[in-house]
Amino acid sequence: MKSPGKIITTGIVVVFVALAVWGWLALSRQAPEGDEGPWGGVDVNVIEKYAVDAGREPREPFINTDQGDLLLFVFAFGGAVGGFAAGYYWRRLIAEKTERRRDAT
Amino acid sequence: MLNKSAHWLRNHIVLTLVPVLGLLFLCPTPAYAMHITEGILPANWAAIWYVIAIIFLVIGIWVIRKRTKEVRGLVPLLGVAGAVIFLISVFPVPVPVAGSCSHPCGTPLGAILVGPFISTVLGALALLIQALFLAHGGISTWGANIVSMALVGSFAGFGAFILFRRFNAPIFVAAFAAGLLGDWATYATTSFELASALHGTSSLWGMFGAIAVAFAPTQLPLGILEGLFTGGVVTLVYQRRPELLSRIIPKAFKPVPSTVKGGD
Repeated sequence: MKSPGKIITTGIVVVFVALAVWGWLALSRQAPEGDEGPWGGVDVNVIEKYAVDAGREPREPFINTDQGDLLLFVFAFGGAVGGFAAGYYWRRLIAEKTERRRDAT
Repeated sequence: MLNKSAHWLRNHIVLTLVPVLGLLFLCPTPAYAMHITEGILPANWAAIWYVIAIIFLVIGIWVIRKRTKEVRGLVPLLGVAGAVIFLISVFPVPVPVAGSCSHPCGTPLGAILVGPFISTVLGALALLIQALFLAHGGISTWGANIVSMALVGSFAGFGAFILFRRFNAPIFVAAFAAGLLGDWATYATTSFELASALHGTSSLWGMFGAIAVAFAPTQLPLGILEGLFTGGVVTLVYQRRPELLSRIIPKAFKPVPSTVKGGD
């Protein structure tokens, strides 16, 4: 890594990371805990908390899939289909081209 | 005939439906995100964010139509970017010490792969599907969520990547910075959107600071995670298919002096 640009930019990123770790540890005690308790999402613990404090209650979604095990089903099914989609296109993008190149040579 | 039908199915139905279904159904719970929930923003503020979002969406759709005609092989790249943006933007990550969960955005990576305007459209589609079917975000807050995650995440990440590459940063470092800064910019924008709509008679910037600080313990480390992921994927794509990235953002991939054989 002889280029000064590489050294400077890498140094900047290292400073960012160091500041982020420091901020994470320093501010963790102040992390708000919402109705969900530990490991709650920030949209409930932060966004909805400030909204409710300001008098804006969240509404139910138009199509509420958060009922019983419906969301669990959606998540499991979506994980399978989403993973397939990402893998399928990744293969088209990377693996097939590489194979073609190898065959050509 | 059978072969022809199979070919048509593969190219037209599967290629369209698979990513759409993937985007549609991949959601863990409605409670792990930066998404502003349905009904939180007053109508006037929701409308303002909608107007900003629509302007960029129109440009983005125009860019997609233009690019797909010009660049062969863009469709698989769009598929990967779209699926990744959706996967990441609903993937809850528990953050130790802070004791809460949140998710990265994926749009900085999308912006590097396909450009910021197209990434904005892909992010908007992911957010729409989440809002409609997954109790994640909302229709009234769709514009605000597009602006924070899809638009600002894409442009901040893309800008950081270009800037770092201009200073000869290695691919991984530039992409890491893009992921890190794109993620933080998204949550800063969400803080501003909430503060601007909800501050009432109190100070706008006071409330902005309070919300940003509340996000910080969760989002600062997640920015690092998003940086690592973005850096890893961009480096991998660059090593395997460098021409894909050089076509999208040629200036960022000018040859730079490197001590490593084979590039960065």
